[in-house]
Amino acid sequence: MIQEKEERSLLIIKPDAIQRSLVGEIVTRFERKGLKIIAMKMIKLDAAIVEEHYAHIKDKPFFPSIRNFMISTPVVVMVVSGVKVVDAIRIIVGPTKSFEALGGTIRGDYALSMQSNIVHASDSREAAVDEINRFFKPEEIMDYEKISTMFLYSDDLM
Amino acid sequence: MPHPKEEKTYVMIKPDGVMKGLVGEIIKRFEQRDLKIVALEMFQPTHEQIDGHYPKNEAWITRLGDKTVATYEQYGFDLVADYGTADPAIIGPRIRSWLVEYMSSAPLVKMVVQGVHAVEVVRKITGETVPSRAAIGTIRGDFSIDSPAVANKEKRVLANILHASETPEEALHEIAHWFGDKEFYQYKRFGIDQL
Repeated sequence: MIQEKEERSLLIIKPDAIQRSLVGEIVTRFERKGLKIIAMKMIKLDAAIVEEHYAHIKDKPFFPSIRNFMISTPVVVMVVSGVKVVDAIRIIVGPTKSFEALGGTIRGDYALSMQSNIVHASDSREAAVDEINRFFKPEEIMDYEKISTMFLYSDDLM
Repeated sequence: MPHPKEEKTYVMIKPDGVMKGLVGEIIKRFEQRDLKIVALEMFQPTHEQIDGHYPKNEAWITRLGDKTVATYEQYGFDLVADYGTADPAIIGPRIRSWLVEYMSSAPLVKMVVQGVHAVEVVRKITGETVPSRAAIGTIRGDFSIDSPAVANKEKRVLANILHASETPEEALHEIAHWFGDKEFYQYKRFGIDQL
């Protein structure tokens, strides 16, 4: 069953994407892959949630700059679902160091910086669960069937 | 009077827009015209919310029936054969119920779009109500071919990708209805606010 294999990933479309009018472009890149958006909202982050989200780098000297950047404008947070999406999304997004990202990836096409790198994507299935809970209440996550499902997942994935 | 850059309009991506994967494309078209998204949320409306959104007065409902009667006349279809009646007062409530069913059939994306002449410009970007008649270059003209001729035959409502407020007054009303007293995000955006 697809439902059992379905993974979820959390995405944050960051302030640099908002500033550069790239929100629609980023969303389109996931939609055209066939991925299903099951939650999405524009929110303004506060320092506390940024510190929680980036707990692993909270004590680094560059962290204040990241925090100020992340709260500088609203962001768009999304949950995307599909089979093997965590890995698939990492490839679409490209590596954290945008200057090393290949053309064709979001960061390769639109970014140069490590901090202003357009989008955050969960790096594992476990991290995705925590991150989704951080930004969304269960009732904000939608449940629906997209017409394309049977064309998207052939026998190898189903 | 708010500053001209602060005019707001209400946009809602309908089930066919979400199902066809057009959420990003629609946002992109507003962004590239230098409009700013100041609120956005995907949500699953309840049957009741949608029912409350559309007028319930008899004149409005009968007008829905009138439109179907007119479409059948225009295309020479047999109304009685398909609907069992030619009375718009009987057809109207059926259309309204399809409308409620359709709009609650998948998640929707609601947003508030802000910018100079936002109401008028967003309507232009969206295109004419009937997609088959909408100009190329508009969202409806580029992504749909639906027409009442086929929608009425298939006993469903017209699927036209998104809703956009028609007048500033309607925008105020719809923003209040769908977002309540939520505050909108204020931020400066490169290219619009630093000219």
